[in-house]
Amino acid sequence: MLEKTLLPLSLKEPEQNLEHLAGFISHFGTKKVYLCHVVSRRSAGQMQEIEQKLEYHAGIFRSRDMDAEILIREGTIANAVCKLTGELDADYLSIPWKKKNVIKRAIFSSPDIDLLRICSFPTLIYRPPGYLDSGNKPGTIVYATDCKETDQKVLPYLNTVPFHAEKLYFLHVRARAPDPDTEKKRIEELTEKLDRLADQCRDNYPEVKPLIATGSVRSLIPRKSRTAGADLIVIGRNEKSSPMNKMLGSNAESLPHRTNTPILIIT
Amino acid sequence: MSTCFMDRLKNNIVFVISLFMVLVFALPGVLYPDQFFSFATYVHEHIIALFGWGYLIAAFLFLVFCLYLAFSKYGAVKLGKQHEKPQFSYFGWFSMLFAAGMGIGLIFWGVAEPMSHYLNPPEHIEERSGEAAGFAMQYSFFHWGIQPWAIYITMSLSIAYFSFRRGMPPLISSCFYPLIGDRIYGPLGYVIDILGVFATIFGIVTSLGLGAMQITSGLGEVFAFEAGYMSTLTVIAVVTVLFMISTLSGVDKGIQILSKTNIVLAVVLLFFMLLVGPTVYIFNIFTQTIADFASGFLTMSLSTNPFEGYEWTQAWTLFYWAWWIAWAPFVGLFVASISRGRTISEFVAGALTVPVLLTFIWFSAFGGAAFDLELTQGADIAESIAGDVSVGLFLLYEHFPLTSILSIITILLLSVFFITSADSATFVLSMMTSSGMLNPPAYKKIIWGLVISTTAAILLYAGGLEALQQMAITAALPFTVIMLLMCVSLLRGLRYEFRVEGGPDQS
Repeated sequence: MLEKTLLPLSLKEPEQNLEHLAGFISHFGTKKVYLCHVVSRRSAGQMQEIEQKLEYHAGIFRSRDMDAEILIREGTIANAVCKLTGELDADYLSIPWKKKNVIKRAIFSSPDIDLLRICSFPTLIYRPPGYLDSGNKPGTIVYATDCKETDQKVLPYLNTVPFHAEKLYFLHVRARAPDPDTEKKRIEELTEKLDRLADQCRDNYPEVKPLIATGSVRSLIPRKSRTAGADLIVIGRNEKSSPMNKMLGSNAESLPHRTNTPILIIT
Repeated sequence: MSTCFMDRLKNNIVFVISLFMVLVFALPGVLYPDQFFSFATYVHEHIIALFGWGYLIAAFLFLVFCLYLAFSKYGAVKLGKQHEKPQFSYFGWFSMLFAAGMGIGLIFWGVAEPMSHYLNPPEHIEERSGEAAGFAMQYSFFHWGIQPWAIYITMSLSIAYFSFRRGMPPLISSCFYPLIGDRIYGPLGYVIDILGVFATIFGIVTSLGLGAMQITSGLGEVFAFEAGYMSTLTVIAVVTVLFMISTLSGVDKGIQILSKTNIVLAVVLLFFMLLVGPTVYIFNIFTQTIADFASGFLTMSLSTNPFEGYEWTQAWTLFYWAWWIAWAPFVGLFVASISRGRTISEFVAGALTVPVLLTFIWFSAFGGAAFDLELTQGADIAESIAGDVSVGLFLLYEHFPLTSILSIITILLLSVFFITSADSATFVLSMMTSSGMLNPPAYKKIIWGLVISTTAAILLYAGGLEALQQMAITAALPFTVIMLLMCVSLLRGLRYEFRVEGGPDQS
C-alpha cells in the first residue's frame, strides 16, 4: 500500500537526513521513490546543477534497492507537488520535516505546511532520529484513533504494510464527559471499542494495547506517544472539517508542530 | 478516630471551613473596625483600579455567551431531563427571579440612583443639567439592566445544567467536571465552593445590616421616631424569626408565597406611581431612555472612560459589576434551583426580558416622578434623596397623596424582599455546605440563619459592615475567572451532549 512515494526535495536537505529517511521508508515496503524539486523559473544552467544534485540524492535510495526517479517542475511547491502526486499515482508523500516555531510559522509559513494543508494524499512527516533515539525503524507504532470513520481507512494500512513493529498502541484521546456517571460509561464503551479494533490487528503485531487519555487531542497525542516510546504515529485525517479546524488546521495538521516522532497521516 | 467521623468531616468540610472563615473575617470587623475598613478599602480600590476593565469585558462576554446559547442549537436543551416540565408557573418563576436578583436594592436605588447621577455626573457632564438627567436615567438602566442578569444567567445555567440534566449535586464545583474531572471532589472543588459561600455570606450579612438600617429609617419617617441601634436590632430580630420560619418551610412554599406577595405589592406601588404620578412624563422618560440605552449599549458596556469620567466609572459601573459578580453564586444557585424543567432558550429569554423590563419601568416611574418634582415643579428634592438613600423613596411619597399608606406598603415590601433574600441565602448556604443536598438539614439552615443575623447585628454595632461589603466584592475577582472557566466548561458539556450523545432528543 505504501509502495510508491513522492519526495519533494529542497536541495539544501542534508544528505544524512535523506539516508535516515531512506532507511525508515524501507520498512514500509516502499519500492519506488520520485524525487521532485520545484523551481519558480527554469534556466538552462541552473537545471543542470539541480539535476546533478537530485541524481546524487537518488543514489541514496537506489543503494537501498529502491527505484528512484528524479523530476523537476515549475510553479509553486505545494500545488506542483499535489498535482504531480496525482499524475504519478504515488501512494504517499514523504516530507522531510523541519520544526518551526510559532512566530516563524505565523509570519513566513513554509511550503511543507502548505502542502500538508492542501494535499489529500497519505503523507509521511519524517524527522530524523536524535542522538538519544534508539533506532530508525518503527518498532513501536501509536495509532491515534478517533474511533470513527477514519478507522476504516487506517486499519488496512496497519494490517497490510510490513512495518515489522513489535508494539502497536491504539490511542484514543477525547474530551471528558459532562458528569462522572457518563464518563464511567463512556470509558467502558471506549475500552470495548478499542479492544475490538485491537483484535483486528493482533495477528500482525506481537503486542497490541489500547490507551485512553482524557483532555486536549492536540497536546495529548504527542505526550502519550512519547510516553509509549512511539517510533511512528499513525493518524487518520477526517475530511469533515469544522469551521474552527478550517481556521486553525486539523489535528493531523497540527501534530507535526508538536512532536519529533515521524507521523503517517492517512487520508 | 473512627472512619465514620472522618467521613462526616469530609462531607462537611466546606461547612466547617466556611464557618471558621466567617469568624476569621468578621472578628477584625468587630475588634478593629477602622483598620479593617482601611484594609478592605485598600484591597477593593486596588482591585477595581487594576482589574476594572476585566469586569467590563467579562460581563459583556457573559451576555454574548448567554445569547449564543439561547439562539444556537443548544437553546433546545432542557435544564432537567428532556421530558421534565417546569416546577413553577411563569408568574411564580418571574416573581422569584426578580426577588432574588434585584429586590431590595431596586426599591431604594429606583429613586436614589437617578438623583445621585443627576447631581454628581462624571466631570465632563454639567451637573443638574438636562444632559445629566438623561445620563442618569440611561446609566440607571444600564447598571440594573441586562448585564447583571447575564451574570446571573451564566452562573445559574451552568449549575442547572450540571445538576438537573447531568445528575450532579447543585454546587458551583460541579460545573467544572468537564474541565477538572474528579478533582472537583478534592481541595480544588472545596476552594471553589468555599469562595461561593464566602461571597454569599458576606454579601447577605452586609445586605441584611444595611437593609435593616433602611427599614428602620423608613419606620422612623412614618411613625416619627429617631432610628437607633436598638430599633435596628429589633428589625433584625423580627426579620430573622420570619425568614427562619420561611426557610424551614422549604423553597416550594415559603419563598414562592413571599415572592408572589412581593411582586403584587411592587406592582401596586408601580401602578400607583404610573397613574397618580406624572404619567406622560414617565412614559416619555421610559421611551427616551430605552432609545438612549439601546443606541449606547455597546459603548456603555465597554467604556472604562480612561480620558474623562474614569473615577465615576470606577465608583459606579465597576463597583456594580463587581457586586453583581460577587452576588452571582447566591443568586445563581437559587435561580438554578427554581428553573428546573425550562429550556436554555426559555431561561435566557425569560430572565433577560421580564425582570429587566420591570426594572426599566420601575426606574422610569420612580426616577421619572422624582425628576418631574425636581425639574418641572421645582420641589428641590434631588439633594435630600441622594443625601440619604434610605429615606429617598419616603421623601418622594411626601409629594403624593396617601403618603402613610404608600410608606407602609413600601416598608412591607422591603421587609418581604428582605425576608425572601435572607431566606434564599440561608437555603443556598445550607445547600452549598451540605454537598449540594436539595433538602439540606434544618440544623444547617438554623446555624446559617443565626450566623447571618448575629454577624450583621454585631458589625452594625461595631461599624464594620461596609468593610465586609468590600471584602465580599473582593471575592468577585476570583469569581470572574471562575465564571469565565464555567462558560468553557458548560460549552464543553453541551458540545459533548450533541457530538457524542446525539443531542437533547436522544437523552
